Amino acid sequence: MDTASLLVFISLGVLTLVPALFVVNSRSIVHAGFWLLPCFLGVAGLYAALEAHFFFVTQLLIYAGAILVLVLFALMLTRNAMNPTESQSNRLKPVAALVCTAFAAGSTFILVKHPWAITTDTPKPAGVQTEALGNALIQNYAVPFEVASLLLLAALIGAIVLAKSDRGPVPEPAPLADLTSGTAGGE
Amino acid sequence: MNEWLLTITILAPMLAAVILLLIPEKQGLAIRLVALAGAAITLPPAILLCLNYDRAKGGYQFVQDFAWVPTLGIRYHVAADGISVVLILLTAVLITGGVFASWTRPDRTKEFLSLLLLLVGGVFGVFAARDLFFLFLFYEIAVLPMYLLIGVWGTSSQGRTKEYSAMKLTLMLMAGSAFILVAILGMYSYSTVHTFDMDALARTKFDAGFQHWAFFAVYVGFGILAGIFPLHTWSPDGHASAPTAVSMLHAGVLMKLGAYGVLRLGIQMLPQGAQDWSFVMACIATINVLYGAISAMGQTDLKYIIAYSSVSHMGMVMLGLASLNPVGINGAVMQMVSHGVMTGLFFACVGLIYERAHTRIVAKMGGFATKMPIVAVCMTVGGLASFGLPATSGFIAEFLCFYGMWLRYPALALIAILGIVVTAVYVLRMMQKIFFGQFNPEDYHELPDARTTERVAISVLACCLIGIGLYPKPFVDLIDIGWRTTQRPDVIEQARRQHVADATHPLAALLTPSVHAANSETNNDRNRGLTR
Amino acid sequence: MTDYRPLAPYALLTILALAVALLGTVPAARRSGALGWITAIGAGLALFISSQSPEATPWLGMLRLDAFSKACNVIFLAALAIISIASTAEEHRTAFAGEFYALLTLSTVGLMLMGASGGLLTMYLGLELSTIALFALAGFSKREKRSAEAALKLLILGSVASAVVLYGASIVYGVLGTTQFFEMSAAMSHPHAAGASAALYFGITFIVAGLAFKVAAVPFHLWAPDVYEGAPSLVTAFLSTASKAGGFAALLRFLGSVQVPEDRTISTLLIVLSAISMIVGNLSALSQKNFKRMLGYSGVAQSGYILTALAAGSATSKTISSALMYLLLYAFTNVAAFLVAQAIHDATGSDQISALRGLHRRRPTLAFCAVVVMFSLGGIPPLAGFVGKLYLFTAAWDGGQRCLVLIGALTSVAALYYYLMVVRQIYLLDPEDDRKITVAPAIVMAISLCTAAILAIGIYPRPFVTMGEAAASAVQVTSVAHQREAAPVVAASDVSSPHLRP
Repeated sequence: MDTASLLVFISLGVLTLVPALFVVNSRSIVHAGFWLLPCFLGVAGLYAALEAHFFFVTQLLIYAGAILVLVLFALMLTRNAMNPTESQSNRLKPVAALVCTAFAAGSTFILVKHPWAITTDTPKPAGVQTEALGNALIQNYAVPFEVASLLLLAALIGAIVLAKSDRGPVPEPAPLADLTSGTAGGE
Repeated sequence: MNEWLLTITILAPMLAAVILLLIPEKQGLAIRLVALAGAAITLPPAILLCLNYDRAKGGYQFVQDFAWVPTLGIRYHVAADGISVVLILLTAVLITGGVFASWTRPDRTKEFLSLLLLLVGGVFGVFAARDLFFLFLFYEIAVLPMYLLIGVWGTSSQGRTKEYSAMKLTLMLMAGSAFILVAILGMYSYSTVHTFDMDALARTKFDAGFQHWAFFAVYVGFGILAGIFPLHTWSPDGHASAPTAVSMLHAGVLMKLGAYGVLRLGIQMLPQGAQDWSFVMACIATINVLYGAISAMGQTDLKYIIAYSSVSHMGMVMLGLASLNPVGINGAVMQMVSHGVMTGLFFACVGLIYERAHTRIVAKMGGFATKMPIVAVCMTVGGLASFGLPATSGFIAEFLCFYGMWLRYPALALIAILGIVVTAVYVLRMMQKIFFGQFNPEDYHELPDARTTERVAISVLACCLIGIGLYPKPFVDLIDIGWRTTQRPDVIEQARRQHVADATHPLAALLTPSVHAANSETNNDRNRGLTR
Repeated sequence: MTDYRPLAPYALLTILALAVALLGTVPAARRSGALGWITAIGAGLALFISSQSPEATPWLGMLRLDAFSKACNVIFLAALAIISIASTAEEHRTAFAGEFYALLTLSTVGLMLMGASGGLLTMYLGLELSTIALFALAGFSKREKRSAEAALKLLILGSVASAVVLYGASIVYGVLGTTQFFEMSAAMSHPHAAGASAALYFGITFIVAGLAFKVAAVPFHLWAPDVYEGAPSLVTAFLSTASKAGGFAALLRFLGSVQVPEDRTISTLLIVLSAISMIVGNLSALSQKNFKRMLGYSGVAQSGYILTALAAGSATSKTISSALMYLLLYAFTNVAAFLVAQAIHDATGSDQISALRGLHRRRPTLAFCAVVVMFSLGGIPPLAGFVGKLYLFTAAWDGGQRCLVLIGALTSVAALYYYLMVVRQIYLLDPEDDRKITVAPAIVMAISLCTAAILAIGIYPRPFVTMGEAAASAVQVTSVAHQREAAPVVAASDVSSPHLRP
C-alpha cells in the first residue's frame, strides 16, 4: 500500500471512529443521532477508496440519507427525546475503556502480523462489478438475500409491537439501531 | 419361563406403583390391596429363583438379554447368580413386610406406597442387572424416592428436621453416584468395544493403574450407601427420620446395594484394584464395626440405636468383603441377608412401639413385655441375632466374616471382634430397659399388642432369623456357588496356575499374623480359597 | 437444476408467519385462540414435511438440508408447537396475538437456517433473524417494567454478540477467502494457511464467543437470568430451549464441518467455557429465590454440560449426536419448566419458588409433572435428562475430557440440591392456602405432552440416538464430499468482494 492511499485510509478511519465515539458518549440522544452522519460518511468514503462504487452510493443514499433521517424523525416525535438525559455510561466506564484499549491493541497486533493476501488485480469497472453483484444476489446468494428481507419483516413487526405500548417510553427504534450497531460495535 | 422371572420381579412392583397413582385417594382398601399384591407377587418368583437355580451349573442363570440402544452399547441384560437370588428373596420378604407395616398409615397412603414399590423395583433391578447402564439406572431409582419418602412422611427428632435428613441423605448418596458414574464411564471407555455389558467388560483386561483408581471410585461411590466411615453420617439421621416401612427397606435392603455394588463392580470386575485397597477397606470396616457399636451405646433414641447398629453391622459386611477370600465374602453376603431380616424386624418393632407408646426414648420405657409379648419376643430374637448368638442367622454370618478377615488380616479381625462385645452390651441393656424394667401405668394407659397383620409380619421375620441360623446350608451353598462360578476368566485361570504352585492349606494364613506378610500373600490367599 | 423441494418447510413457515400476522387483525381469530392452534398445526406440518423431504444442498452448499438440519428442525419445531399450544390459553390472548405467533415463527425460521447453514453468511443471517424476533418477544408483557428491561438487555447485548460474530466472520473470510464451511476446511489444509493461524484462530474465537452468548455460556451468560426473569414465561421457554439449541446447532455445524487443524486453541476455549459454565451456573442457581431466575442459571449450567461434549472434539460423531439428543430432551424439559412457571404465575401472580408451595394439594397433576421435570433436569433416571447427560459424558470421556466429566458429575450433585428445593416446596410442604388453583387446559396439555416426551426419551432413547447419529454423519460426510464441488463457489464469492481474494 502506498503512502497516499494509507493517508486516505487513516483519515477516513478517523472520520468514522471519532464521531462513533461521540455517538455513544453524548448525553442527548438527538446529538448522538446527528453524530451518526459523519460516521456513515466515513464508511462511505472507505467504500469509495476501495472502488466499490455500488456500496459507496448505497451507503450514502440509504444510511446517510434514508435511515439517518428516519432515526432523527423518530427521535423528534418521541416525547422527552429532545432534552438532554442521563449520562450514557456508568462508573465502570474507565474499566471498560481500559479493557477495550487492551483488546484493541491485542487484536491490532495479531491482525497486523498476519500476511494478508492482497490482490494485484485492478478492480473491474463499476458497471461490471454491479452486474456481478446483482447476479450473485439472485443466484448463489439468493438465500441470504431473501432471509435479509425476512429479517426486516421481523424487525418491522417487532417495532410495531413495542411501539404500540400502553404507557411509558419503549425502545422503539430498536431493530433499526441494531442494523447500524452491527457495524459500529465491531470496530 | 425362567428367563422372565427376573423381569417379572423387577416390573411387578413398578407396575403396581403406576396403577396405584391411577386409583383415587379415597379407595383406601383398594390402594392397600394393590400395593400388597405388587409386593407379594414378587415372592413366588423370588422363591422360584432360589429353587430353580442350577447349583451344578453355577454362573449367571435366568438370562434375558437383548439390545436396547445398540449404538451406545446398552443392552437390557438381566441375570442372577447365587448371590443375587438370595438378595432378591430377602428384598421380596422385606417389601411384603414393609407393606404390612404401613397398613395403617393415614395420610397420602397412595403416593407413599407407590414410591415404596418404585424403590423396590429399583432394588430388584440392581440385583439382577448385568448391564452397567441399567444397574446405575435401577440404583438411582432405588435411592431417589427416599428423598420424598423421608421428606414427606418422616418424623423430625432430636432437633433434626425430616427435610434436613432427607436432603442430607439424598445429596450424599448422589455424590456417591457421581463417583460411580465416573467409574462406569471409565470402564465403558476402556473397553475397546465400548459396551456397558458387564459380561463383556468382565473379559476386558483393565490395567493395574486404571483398576486402582476405578476401584477407589466404586468403593467410595457405593461405600457411601453402605455407610462406610466417615461417610456414614447420612445414615443415622436418615433412618431415625424415616417412617417404619422406609427404615425397614432402607436399612434392610438399600444399604446392601452399596455392599453389593462394591462386590459386583469392584471386587469382581476390578480384582487388582480390590487387592490394592483391601487393607484400607479392612481398616475402615473395623472402624465402622467399633464406632457404630460404641455410638449406639451412647444413644437414647431407639431409632438412633438401631441406626448406629446398622452402621456397625454394615461394617461387618464390608469386613467380609475386604478379606477378598471366599470365606469372608460368603460371610458378607450372609450378613447382608441376616442383617436385612434383623434390621427389618427391629424397625418394624420400633414402629409398633412408637405407635403405641408415642415415644422412642428408651429411658421412658419399661416393662413392655407384659403388655406386648409378641413384639417383645420377636425383638429379643432380633437382638440376639444382632450380636451373633449361635442358632441365629447372625452367628453364621458374623463368624464367616471374622474368619475371613482372620485369614487375611488377623490383627484387624481381633480388634473388630470387640465390636460384638459392645453390641451385646447395648442390645441387652436396651432389651432389659424396654421390656423387663418397671412398667409405669401412669404414662401409658393402654399398650395393645400387635395386630394380626403386624404379628404375622414380625413373627415371619423372627422365624427367618432362627431358621437360617439353624440350617444355613442352602443359603451358604447358593452364595458360595454364585461367588465361585462368576469370577472373571483371567482370575480363575490365575488361580488354577497358582494352585499348582502353592498347595498349602488355607489355614496356613493363620500362621502369618503380620499385616505386611498377609498383604504380600494376597493373591495366594484368594486363590487357595477359590479352589478350595 | 436445483431441487427446491427440501425448502418446503422453510417456505411453509414463512407463509405461516405472514398468514398469522394478517389473521391477527381479525378480532375473532385473536380471541378464540385459533391463531395458536394454526401455528401449532403449521409447525407440526412443517416437521412432517421436513422429515419426509429429500436431502439437498441448494445454491452450491449455501444451505445444507441434510439429516443434521432435519434433527435440528425437530427440536425447533417441537418447541414452537408446544409453546403455541400453551399460549392459546385464555390469559394470553392479547391484542398482539397475531404478532406474537408471527415473531415466534420467524424466529424459528431463523433458527432452522442456523441448523441448515452451509456457510458463515447463512449462519449469521439466521442468528440475526432469530434474535431480532426475540427482542420484541421479550418485551411482550408491556405492563411489566421487567419485561421492557429484558427486551432492552437482550437487544443491546444481543447486538454486541452478533457484531462479535460478524467481526470474527470477517477476519476468517479475510484469512481464508471464503465463507462456505467446506471450502474453509479445504483452504485451511492449503499450505499457505500455515502462517494464517493466529489471525484465523482469533476470528474463530470471536465466532465461538458470539455463539456462546446465544447459548448463555459463562462468561457470556450475564443477560440470561435477567432476561429469563423479565420476559414472559412463554417467551422464555422458547428463548431458553429453541434459541439455545440454535446456537449449539450453529456451533456444531461450524466446528463439525470446518476441520480446524491442530485446534488446541479452540478446544481449550471450549473446555474453559464448559468448566466455568457448569461451576458458575450451578453455584449461582443455589441461592436463587425466583423460580425463573433459578432456571436461568440452571440453563447456563446445562449449556456447560453440552459444551463438555463439544470440548471433546467437534469432529467425533458422538459429540454431535449426544449434543443434539440433549438439546431435544432439554427442549421438552425446559419448556415444561417454564410452562409450570407460567401456570403458577397465572394462578398466584408470583414467580417465586415459594409460590409452588404445597402444589401437590392444590393441583396434583401439575405437581407430578413439575417433579418429573425437576428430576429430569437433575439427571435422575429413568427420565430423559439422565440418558442425555450420560450420553454427553460418554462423548466427553471418549474425547479425553475426564476432568470435565468429573466436574460435571460433581456439580450435578450441587444442582440436585436446588432442584430438590423446588420438589420440597411442591411435595414436602403443605400449602398456606389449601384451595385448588386453576390452570388453563392448554397449558396442562402442553406440559403433559412434554412430560410424556421426557419419560419416552428416558425409557427408550434408541430412536433419538439413531437420529443423532444420522445427523452427525451428515455433518461429517458433507465436509468431505463437498470439497470436490468447491471450485465454482469460489468464483461466485470473489465477485461480490474482489479485493480480498487471496
